[in-house]
Amino acid sequence: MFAMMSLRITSAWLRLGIAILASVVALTACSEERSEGYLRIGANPWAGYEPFFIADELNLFRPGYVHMVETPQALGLSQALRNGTIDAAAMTLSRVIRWPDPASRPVVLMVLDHSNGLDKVMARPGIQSVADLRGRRVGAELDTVNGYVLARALELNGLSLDDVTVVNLENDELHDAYVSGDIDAMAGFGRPIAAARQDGAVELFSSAEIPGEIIDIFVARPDSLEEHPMGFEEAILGWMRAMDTLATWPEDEDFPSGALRPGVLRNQLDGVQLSSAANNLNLMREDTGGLHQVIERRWQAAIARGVAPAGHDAPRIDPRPFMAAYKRYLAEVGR
Amino acid sequence: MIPTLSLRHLIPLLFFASGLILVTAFYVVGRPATIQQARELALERAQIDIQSLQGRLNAVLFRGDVRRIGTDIFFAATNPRVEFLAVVEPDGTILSAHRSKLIGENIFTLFTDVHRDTLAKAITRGRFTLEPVEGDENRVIAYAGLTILDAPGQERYVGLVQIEDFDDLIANMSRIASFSSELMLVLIVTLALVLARVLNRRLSTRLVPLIDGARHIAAGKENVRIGLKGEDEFAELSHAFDDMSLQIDHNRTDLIKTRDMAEAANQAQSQFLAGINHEIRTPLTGVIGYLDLLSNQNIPPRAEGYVAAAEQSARSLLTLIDDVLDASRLQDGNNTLKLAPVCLNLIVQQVVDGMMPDIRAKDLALGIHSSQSDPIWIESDARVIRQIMLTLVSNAIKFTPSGRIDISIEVNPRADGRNDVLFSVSDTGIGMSDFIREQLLEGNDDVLQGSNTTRSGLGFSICRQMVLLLDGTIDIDSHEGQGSRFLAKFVATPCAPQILENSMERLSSLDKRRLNILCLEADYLGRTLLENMLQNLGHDAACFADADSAFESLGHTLIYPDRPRFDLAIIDSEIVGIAVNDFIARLRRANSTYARLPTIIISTRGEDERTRFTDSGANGFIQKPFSTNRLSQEIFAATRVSQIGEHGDTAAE
Repeated sequence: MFAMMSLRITSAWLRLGIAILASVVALTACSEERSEGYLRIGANPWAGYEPFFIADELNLFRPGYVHMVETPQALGLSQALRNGTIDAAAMTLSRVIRWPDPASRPVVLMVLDHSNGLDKVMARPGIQSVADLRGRRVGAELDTVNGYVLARALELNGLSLDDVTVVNLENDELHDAYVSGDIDAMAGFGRPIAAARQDGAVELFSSAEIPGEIIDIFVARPDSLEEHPMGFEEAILGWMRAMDTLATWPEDEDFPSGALRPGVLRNQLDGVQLSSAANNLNLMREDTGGLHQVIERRWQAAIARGVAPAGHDAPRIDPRPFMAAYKRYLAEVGR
Repeated sequence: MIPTLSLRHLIPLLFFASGLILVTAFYVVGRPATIQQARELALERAQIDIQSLQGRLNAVLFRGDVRRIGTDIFFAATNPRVEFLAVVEPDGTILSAHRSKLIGENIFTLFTDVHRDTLAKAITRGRFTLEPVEGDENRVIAYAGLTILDAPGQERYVGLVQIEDFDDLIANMSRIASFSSELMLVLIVTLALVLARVLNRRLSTRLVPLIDGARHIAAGKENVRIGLKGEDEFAELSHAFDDMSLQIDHNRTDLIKTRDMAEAANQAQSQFLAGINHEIRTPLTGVIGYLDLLSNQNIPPRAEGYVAAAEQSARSLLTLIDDVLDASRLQDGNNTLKLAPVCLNLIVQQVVDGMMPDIRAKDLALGIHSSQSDPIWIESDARVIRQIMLTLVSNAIKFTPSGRIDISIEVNPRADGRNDVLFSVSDTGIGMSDFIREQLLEGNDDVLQGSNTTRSGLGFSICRQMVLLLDGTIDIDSHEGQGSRFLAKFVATPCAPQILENSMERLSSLDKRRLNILCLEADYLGRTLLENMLQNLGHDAACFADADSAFESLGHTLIYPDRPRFDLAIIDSEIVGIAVNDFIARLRRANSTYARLPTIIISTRGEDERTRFTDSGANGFIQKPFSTNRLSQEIFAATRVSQIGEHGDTAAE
């Protein structure tokens, strides 16, 4: 009896102790989870990256994990990322491909948007097709997406960069060169293209003919992937939530301050296609290899143009954060 | 619960409770202080942040490098605490911000917490200000002034507003404070558990043997030894316990020895008293018997007085012996009740009959009262009741020089079907003081010693114990010089009236014939006395000193026609050579003629032995000494033959 009572009370004590210890361990575990700090994501004010800012403004990120920083146009985003001012960024694939230091080259996590006609090849009236560009002077910034669009346009029409005279110009310089007569055609996007069109230039080729090849991506510093596993998952999940919000947001209602108005956003998205979660899932699959193929093609093209160093691997893809976020996203939307 | 909690639970519990109080105190005092400290730290950090940014911006703006604002704001905004950051005109228009979409908006429209006056002071007076957001102490708004040099000599002043959220910082600090409390709690719980475990084991191995030992001793086991080794308190307690156990063993042995000695002494005393009883009763039987015979002879009137005095003295001596024996029995604790139908009226009558000579001698008036017209029958012990009555009546006679004595019996039915029985004896005697009365009621007869107020100093004490034996009470109502009233009260079950075999009223109508009686009495005096008494009653007596002679005589009556056969045998219980029971058995077996021969046992033993003899086949019992009258009653009971001699009239008394 004495021993039994002792056993009973001792086990009660043990149960109480274990319960308290478990509670404390749980609390401690929560503290550990928060210890990774904020994931700082830098992004230009560009329509393709807007879901990140919408998620930030609408508190679609889990508190304490993601800090969005708007990068001014003039800033060298690559330097900020390389130097650790920010942990992740939204940028074009071109930037990643021409990354000067292979060791610190960002890791691709997902596709944010792809150009669907935004990037164009324009030429003077009289030049009827890409094939007519043989021997002509064509303006394009070779180490950017403009150079790639030109190369692809020529390639699809049986030519190569060697068949034309490439004048290496930044995007903003294209229109002036066209007006001055320095170039007969140009590969570019945005304002110079619109201005050239107004001056009578004709469209020979657009990125709509190479869907999925001109992409903006979400990248991470290699070491920050290990430092912020939850931060990346939360960032991508927030982006997915923002995509859903965007799809259902009333046309006549403003987003909160700090984000583009829906109307402005839709104008800016002319020629650009935001990449949905499902689209990303398809691109991420190694078997179909959509994203891998695009990156490899772009990588080889960049090597061919001398933009990327030969003898190195193409930018690496890490699908883990996307997959983890996508799993949670499916649970949230009940699928 | 706490007062009954065992040590091995109480100590860890108190430890745990103390720890809990400590942790709670830390939570109540330490945590808020940490948070307060964190807020002060946050203000300092906010000040450093904005001053640093202000310095950088002032430097680039003063060089006219307005495009650099965006870069500096970007770097400042990479700090996760920065919630809002903008360069604003005095009217609130945003010139540059951490979000380019905010450019051109008005800060006062966007944030109501940003105060126009504070911003104006920062811009116009260069006053640097930090203030928490109203309702959210973890957020801080910082205001600072900036100077833009648009052209040499053309300066304009704008403001810098930064909102920082220190929620995480303060939460972290709070968490650190909480975590240390939690750590402390874990430590306390762990220590309490370890303490409980250690105490449990310690007490189980050290205390349980002590508890078991105590239980064994309580259960009466001998040679219990704990024998704990070590130098702790439990070992000390164990040694003390073992010493105590050893002492208990010694005491037990001593007690057993003492008890055995006491029992032996008691037995010796009982044997001695039995011997004394026998030795005194035997000669007294002769004395009283012969005085009884003498009183029925024609003797001179003067001699009658001598005979009466001698008889009274002999009876006093007899009473003394009875008292001593009764006291001895009560001390032995052997006096257990033997319940049987008892007629209270008959006992009163028998007691009064025995006392009549004394009553007459003092010329006292006697009144006997009963609550009922019929005899009262109850289930009780006649011997005990007789003893009570005898004591009370004899005391009344003793202490009443003149006047009267009233005896009353009364029964009152109770709710449980039994009766309250009251027996009282009142006298007009000398009475007693309150002190003596109280002493008597407390069982202390010594107060009467030397006062010449009682015969032995034992009578009332025995009487009182007899009443207690009946689960009754006795009370005394007495006043000095005014007499006394003794009232015994007890509860008894009523029973149906029994047939009185020796009813005196029936004697005259029954058989009166001469009996031939065989008497067996070892003592010569007793033998001759018995022979005389029987002859006085008109019977023939053949007296023998031993069993063999008696059996020989019995045999002669069968084979010699001139020898009349015996009608009755009166046998002394102390016959030589054979136990009386064996004698009766042998008598029954000897011949069919004597198989049913009525037999009366005479003995110096008490009335309580009657059953033992009647169970052995005897038909009657008489305690020595006895009167002719008593002998006559018993003969009648055994044979249905009344006396035919000259003594017959005395029975009517």
